[in-house]
Amino acid sequence: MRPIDRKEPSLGDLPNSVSEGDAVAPEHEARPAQFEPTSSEEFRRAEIATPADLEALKSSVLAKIQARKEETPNIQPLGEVASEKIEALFGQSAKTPTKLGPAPSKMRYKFERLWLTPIFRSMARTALPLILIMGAGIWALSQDDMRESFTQKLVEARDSLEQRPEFQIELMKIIGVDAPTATEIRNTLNITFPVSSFELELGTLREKLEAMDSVASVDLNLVESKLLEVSITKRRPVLLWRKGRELEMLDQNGVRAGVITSRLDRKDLPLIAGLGAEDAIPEALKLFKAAGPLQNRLRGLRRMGERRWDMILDRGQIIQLPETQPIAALHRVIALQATQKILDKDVRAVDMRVSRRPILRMSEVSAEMIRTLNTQN
Amino acid sequence: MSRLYEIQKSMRSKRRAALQRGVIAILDIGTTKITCMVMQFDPVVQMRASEGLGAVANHGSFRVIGVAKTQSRGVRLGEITNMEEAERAIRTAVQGAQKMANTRVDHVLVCFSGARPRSYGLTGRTEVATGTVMDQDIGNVLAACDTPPIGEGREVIHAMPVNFALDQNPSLGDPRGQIGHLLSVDMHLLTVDQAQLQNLILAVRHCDLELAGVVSSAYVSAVSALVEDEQELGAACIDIGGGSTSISIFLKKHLIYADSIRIGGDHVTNDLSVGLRVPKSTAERLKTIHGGLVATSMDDRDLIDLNTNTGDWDHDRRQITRSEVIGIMRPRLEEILEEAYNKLMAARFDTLPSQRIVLTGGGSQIPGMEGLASRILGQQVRLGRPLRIHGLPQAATGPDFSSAVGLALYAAHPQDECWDFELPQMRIGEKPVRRAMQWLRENW
Repeated sequence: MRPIDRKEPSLGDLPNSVSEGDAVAPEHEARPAQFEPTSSEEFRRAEIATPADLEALKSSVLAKIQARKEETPNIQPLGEVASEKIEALFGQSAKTPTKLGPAPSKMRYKFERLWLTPIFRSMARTALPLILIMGAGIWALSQDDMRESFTQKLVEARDSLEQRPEFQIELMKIIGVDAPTATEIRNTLNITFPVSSFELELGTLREKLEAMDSVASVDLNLVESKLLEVSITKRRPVLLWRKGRELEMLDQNGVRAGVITSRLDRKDLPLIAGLGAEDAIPEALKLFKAAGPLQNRLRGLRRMGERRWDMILDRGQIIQLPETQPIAALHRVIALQATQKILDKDVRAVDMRVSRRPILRMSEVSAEMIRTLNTQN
Repeated sequence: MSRLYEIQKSMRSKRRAALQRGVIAILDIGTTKITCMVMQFDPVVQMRASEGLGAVANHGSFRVIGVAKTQSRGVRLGEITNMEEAERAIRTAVQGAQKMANTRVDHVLVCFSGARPRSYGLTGRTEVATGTVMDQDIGNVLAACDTPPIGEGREVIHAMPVNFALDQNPSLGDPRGQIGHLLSVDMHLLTVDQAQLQNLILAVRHCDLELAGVVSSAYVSAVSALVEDEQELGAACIDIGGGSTSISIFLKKHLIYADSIRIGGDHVTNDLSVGLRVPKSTAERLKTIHGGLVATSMDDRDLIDLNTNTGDWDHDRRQITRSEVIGIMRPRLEEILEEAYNKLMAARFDTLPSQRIVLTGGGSQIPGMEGLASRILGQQVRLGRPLRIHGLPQAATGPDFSSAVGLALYAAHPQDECWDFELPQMRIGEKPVRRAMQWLRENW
């Protein structure tokens, strides 16, 4: 006969433990450890008991199980199983479900029909959320403090975005000019670095730079998002224009490319003068080129009456060029010079204004001499 | 007659309204299954069909966009026995079809097979008023039909003018516009039990659906299962359904006789269940999988397990031969067919020029049906499947769907019935205000 260790109960012990108060039949110990409630006294009683009795019996059984559980803590999982079994056994009378075929409930059916109504569905899907969002938006905007905090938040968000290091520009690099001009450009732009790229308006900067005399065109580039690269194409001065006391440098298009104080600063540039000279720069340049053998005697060109050029040579000699085809006239003078050396003579002016008929103006003294010689003969 | 006339007329106008909206549903309330189909109509084609392009042009005017079937509950012998259960089943079917169609249906045409249909042939004759037959004359001659005593608690569901005769010309489909003197009409009247009809109408109403017509399933299954020349020359359609078998006879494309036998496939299942001591579900399974009507020696060796679940090992492990199944099924189907034959003979089917018989319905799918039917009904028997209609899923093309498909065809193109014409007393006794009110009620 197997001795029963009360401290280690098995599932089969449970009915025994339940009927502990009654006389425990010896054959219980001999039975294999199996849960067979039908042989137990209580369970046999349960078959004929009223629901109230069953309830009482159930609670007493559960109480006993609880007591066992307290005195032997390791019974716990089995105790749970046992109580579930009892639940299953005693709960049988609860309800038998009425058997109905599967069908949508009336409410569900009605709702589904409503949902399939196109207008209802479109209302629920678009109009309703739209109205809700708009209503919430209008309500929020109608609250003053909320609106303020909202705009403030917006500004803060914008600021924090602008101040992010990714958008900071720390350096400016100026390409294409010499150091003094670069300094001048820095002064003109007047940017304090680092600066956010949102604050830089490249269009304005470009306008500012292009307003400078020495700058023909500007390329502004943000390189590697840290560096503002200013590449400048300088204006190339081709002429000096004497304008009263000051000397302006002009580029090919007659735009001012700077001012100098002394002619000696730019001896390489030819000199022009006169009102309206800046409008005829290409012609002037051609004339300078065409001067050829007169080059070393050439002092400059003077615009006369905003329509034609006078070529000034040294010794105060003047070649008055016509309004049309001045270069041809100049060539003619050069040819005359080559054959007859007219300019080596005491000529004050060569008047080519009517280019078919050059007129020489002598100096006073020479003219007097010639007149005397003529009268003597 | 007058109240019925108005009800039927309002159902007709609802059908028209539904066609204008483009969506209509049909509901076939059977004993074994309830089928719901949602159909979409092309209003342009529909309009052209109403101008008289005929049935073929009409055929393409709709497509089925949703089909659902559910096991029928609360219906026995084609009649509603449990209102609530039947409503639940209808709801299930309608909801399924709506879901598939992804649209809502409000108008529904219903067909059913029970309620003891009874056919009457009526004749009426009248003088043509103006010398030329007008719509008004048709109404007059229809009103002149002598109504037979249809009995207490009966209701007319079909009243179709089948044939017109004008003077010496005995068979005219449509006499309108013809010149003549004496116009007579043969009308076919079909009556059913009023209480059953009202139950049906109530069940549909409880599902928030508008009834756009009530049709006998004997009629519509013939519409889909008979081909055009059979309808023209004369043929009978026997629709072996679950709870009842409907019989209809067509001549000149008109229904001239309809009846039903209150035996069907369910009785076969019941016989199997009783005879083999198995539950109904097992019996149904046996019938559909192993069922047959002609036993061969092979069937004696074909053993079938009866997997019942009683707990008695010997009872649960029984095996039967297929011959036994056939032996139980065959007498019942012979009974059905003999009953149908008797009905046809009683209706003088043998006097028709052509005597084709078309078997359709779920019961006609039993293997060996054709042989058995030709032994009982004569040689001109064939098994009929419903016409193919646009958009119908493959699962719903079997003969058990012939009444649903026929109802779909009927919804698209119903035959003229008595209430499509203005009856004379309506013209005289009408009150304009009441008519306007009725018009408002019907259209809003």
